[in-house]
Amino acid sequence: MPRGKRRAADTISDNMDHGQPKRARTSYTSIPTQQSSRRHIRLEDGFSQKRCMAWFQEYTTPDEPETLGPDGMEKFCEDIGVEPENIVMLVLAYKMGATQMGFFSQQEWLKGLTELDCDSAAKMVVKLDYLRSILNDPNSFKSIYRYAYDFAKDSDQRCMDILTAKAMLQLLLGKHWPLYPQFAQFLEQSKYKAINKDQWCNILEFSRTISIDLSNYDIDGAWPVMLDEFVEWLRLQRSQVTSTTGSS
Amino acid sequence: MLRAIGKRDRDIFEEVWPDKRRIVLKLLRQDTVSQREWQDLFFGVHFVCLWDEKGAAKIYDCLQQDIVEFIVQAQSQVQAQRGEQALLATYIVEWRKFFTQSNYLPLPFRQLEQSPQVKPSSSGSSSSASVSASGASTSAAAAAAATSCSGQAGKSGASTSAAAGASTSAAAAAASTSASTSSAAAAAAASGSGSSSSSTSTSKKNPTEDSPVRKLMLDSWNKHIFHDIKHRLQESAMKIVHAERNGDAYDAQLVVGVRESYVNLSSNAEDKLEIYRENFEMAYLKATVEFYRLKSAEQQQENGVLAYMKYADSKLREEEVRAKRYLEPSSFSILTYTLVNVLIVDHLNSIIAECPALIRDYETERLNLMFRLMDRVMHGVGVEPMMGDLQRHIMSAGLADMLSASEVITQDSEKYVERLLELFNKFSDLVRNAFNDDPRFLTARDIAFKTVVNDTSVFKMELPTSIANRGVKYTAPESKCPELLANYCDMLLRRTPLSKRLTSEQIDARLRDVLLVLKYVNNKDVFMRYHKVHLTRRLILGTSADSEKEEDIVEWLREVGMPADYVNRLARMFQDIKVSEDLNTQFRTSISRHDAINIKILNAGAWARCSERVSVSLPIELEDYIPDVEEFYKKKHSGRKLQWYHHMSNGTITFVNNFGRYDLDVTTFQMAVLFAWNQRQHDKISYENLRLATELPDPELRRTLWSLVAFPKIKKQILLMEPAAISSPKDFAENTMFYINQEFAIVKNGKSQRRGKLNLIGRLQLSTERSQQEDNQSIVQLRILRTQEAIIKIMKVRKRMNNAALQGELIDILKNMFLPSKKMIKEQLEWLIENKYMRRDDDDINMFIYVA
Repeated sequence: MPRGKRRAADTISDNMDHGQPKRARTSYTSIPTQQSSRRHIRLEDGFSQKRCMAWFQEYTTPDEPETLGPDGMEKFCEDIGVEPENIVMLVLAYKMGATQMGFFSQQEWLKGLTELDCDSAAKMVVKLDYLRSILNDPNSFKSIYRYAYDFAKDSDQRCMDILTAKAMLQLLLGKHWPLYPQFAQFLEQSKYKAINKDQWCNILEFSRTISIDLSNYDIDGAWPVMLDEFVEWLRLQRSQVTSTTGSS
Repeated sequence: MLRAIGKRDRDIFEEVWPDKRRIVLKLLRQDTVSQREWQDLFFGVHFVCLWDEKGAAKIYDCLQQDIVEFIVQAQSQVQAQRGEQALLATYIVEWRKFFTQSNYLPLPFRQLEQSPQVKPSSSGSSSSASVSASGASTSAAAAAAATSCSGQAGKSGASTSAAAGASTSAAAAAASTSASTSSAAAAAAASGSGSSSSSTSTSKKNPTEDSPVRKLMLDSWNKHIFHDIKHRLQESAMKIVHAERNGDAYDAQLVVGVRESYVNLSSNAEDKLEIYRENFEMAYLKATVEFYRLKSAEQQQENGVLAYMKYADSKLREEEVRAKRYLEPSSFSILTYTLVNVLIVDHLNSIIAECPALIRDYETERLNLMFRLMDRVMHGVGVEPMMGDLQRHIMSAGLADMLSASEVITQDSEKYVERLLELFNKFSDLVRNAFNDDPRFLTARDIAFKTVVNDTSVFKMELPTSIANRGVKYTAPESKCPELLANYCDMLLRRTPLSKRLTSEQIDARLRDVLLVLKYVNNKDVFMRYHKVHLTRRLILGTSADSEKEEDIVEWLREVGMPADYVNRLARMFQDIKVSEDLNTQFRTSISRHDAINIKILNAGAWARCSERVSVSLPIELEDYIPDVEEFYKKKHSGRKLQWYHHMSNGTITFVNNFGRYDLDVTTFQMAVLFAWNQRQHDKISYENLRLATELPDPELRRTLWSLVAFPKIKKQILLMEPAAISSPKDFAENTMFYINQEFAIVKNGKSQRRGKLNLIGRLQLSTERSQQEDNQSIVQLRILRTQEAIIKIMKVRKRMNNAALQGELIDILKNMFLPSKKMIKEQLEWLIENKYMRRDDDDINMFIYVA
């Protein structure tokens, strides 16, 4: 084992000793060597904080070496093979405890990736399935859902604006909640400009407990006024559709 | 010896019983039985039981045969009768004889019950005798036997004298025997005494009712006669009852007699009414149902529902009287239940259908009758429809009445309140006369009247349902009643033509009437708001008719449950006025000027929500007072700051023109405007210049000028203007000219007066630009704050509370002032959550948690 490491070092040294014209060809030649070397190392070693930090630096700029910003985020997503809008990115942000959408601080990065035992893109790719599976646990989903509110809203505002809310709801509930399309339509036609945390949390509860036909909705319960209005609006919509069908 | 004993046993029973049996038969037949015979019967039974081992059983069997034989004879007597009444009469006679004997006949046969106890005692005695004098006993016995045989052999044919002789011989033989014989006799005597004592004690323990002989008699009667003819008995009895119900001739005693036989016939000590209940009672109930099912249908069909109700009521009473004659008390409730079912419940829909019309026509007697009938029906099945009908009537009649008079009462609060009170009294009379002030109907009246009072179809005020800044603005109509009530209170408490016309007691009564109606108002906070505004005007202008009544009504409001903080503020207002009077006295003595000045120091907390101050350039005569007052007040209360509200001030000025001299009551703003003509009585001043002179805001100046050029109710105006054709203060232009009306005069009876006093203040403006809508909106704002405050109060105590319980307590706290809508409650809960006073349980959205 130690001998292997030394060989890698020797190889690098040799390349540096040669002149500039030779570097191009040498670099090309060395890529397979380097990959081979990394693969070898990964298989043999666990998490390396040093490697993790070096990996983080790939996505930062000299101006802000401690912050991974939107550009770095885009590159990071490319490297691990996911779209920036993918929900798994939200789960990752949750693991890191990130406080601002589109940004990871060095501290958040280190905390999250240490927990995930990832110090390279290759390892992260393997972990993506795990991150997605977290969403299947109702309690974890709830925690991530609530985390998403503070993560996604502008930090200088008290509430999340309606456009952001719709996008986040699409991401989180769009596939699970049959009434999501109607709710989005309701928000579109309503005059709500923002959604507060309480409303946000109750939308999840609503999506989990209220049947599609709304028969178990309790108008006298503690549901927020927004959801009272949604139920009223939806019932009106449905009665109109029924009326139209009847007339035709 | 054995044969001799056997012979003796048989001889004893057969020798003794035939004579005693004749006595028994005489008893059953109720023939005359002498005392001697009665005692002989007791002795005979005792003797046989004592000396004959099987005597008791033999007597019992023989007795049973005699009883059955007697019953069969009685039965033939009864069944021989052909008529119904004759049947009943004969049965009753036979039964009563038999039943009487069932109390007497068992007495002589008590020994039968004790026979197992007697045998051991007798054996003991015999054994004792043998032991003590065996030899003598044998001799005595032999002697007795010999004597007896000799007697019988010596005589041919049995005769009385021969028997007597034999007995005498036996006695003589015994006498001649030695002391041993005497000992045997003593033993026999002792044995007899013991038996007698045992019999006596037993009788105390076992009353006649438990006697097996009595049971034998009753069971035999039941088995051999009653069972066969009881159906005929019942049918006959019921026919008599039926005849009675139809008003035909009848003999009640026959029915009573039959009932008695059912009750007394029972031999079951644990349930003495068993036979009665299973037979007579059942037949009686069945006959009752059959009779009235037919009769009631006839009555209703022939005479209508209203007459039927009278019929049903009278029949219920009649049957209650009849039951006391014919039934046991235990049957009364089930009979009533049965009658209620057949006379009322079966006709419930028909009867109830009449209720709305009777209520509408105020047919109180018939309603009371219906109520009495329906109140008999269990579970409120009868009464509840009536309550519903009453409630609907009061609602529809009340609203219709309000609607028909809407043009008048929307303008005249006095007529409105009078109308409401008339309605309330009318409905209360209805409940008292028709329903005896039954609590259930009082409640129905209250619910319905509350609906009338809080109705919004006749008139309403528009209250925004949420704060305007939310972007969505709805209005929810609320009743105008509380506003009109407050207006009416003002008319009573202020010096008005109305308050002058009424006596003090009458005013008190009317104020209490207002409070009565107020109890039914949902949004009492609206009343309090308007009442307070009126009170403010009365206190500032000094226009209260009776200051004692002003303070009385504050206490009365406290009594009807108004929140303490509201009431305390009103009380504080009175206190401020009193304190101000004292301050004014002191102030006047502290300055050298002699103008009449009246300063009012008002606590900001109690008189809150006055509008913003309006700047005005005061006449110099007034302005000079301000630093003096402030200096004076600062000496007394350092650290306090005075805010001047000139728009709430008023005064009196002397107005002189070419025609005359007048004292005018004017507001400060009016004063400021009029003072512009001091030193230039004949000048014309433009609107622009008046604004510069007075520094009043445009809206205030326009309003003030209008009150001087177009004051209602006076023929000649103080000021004139050019051009004269302006019809609204909005049309005043910068160059509109105003000037003193040198022809102004107070006109009375068509004549101009050169002297006089005139009030130009009119309605004191407590707010400036406020519109009705803004006032209404402030009510909503206040409700929002009160709702939030109430929620915080509850959560501070509870810490954790679920939604339903929280809303319940919240409504309890607020309902005395207003009923918060569910939407308002939800909005305030959300606001408190958003502002971190509260939060929801993470796992239960219906659970709220207080956040310190």
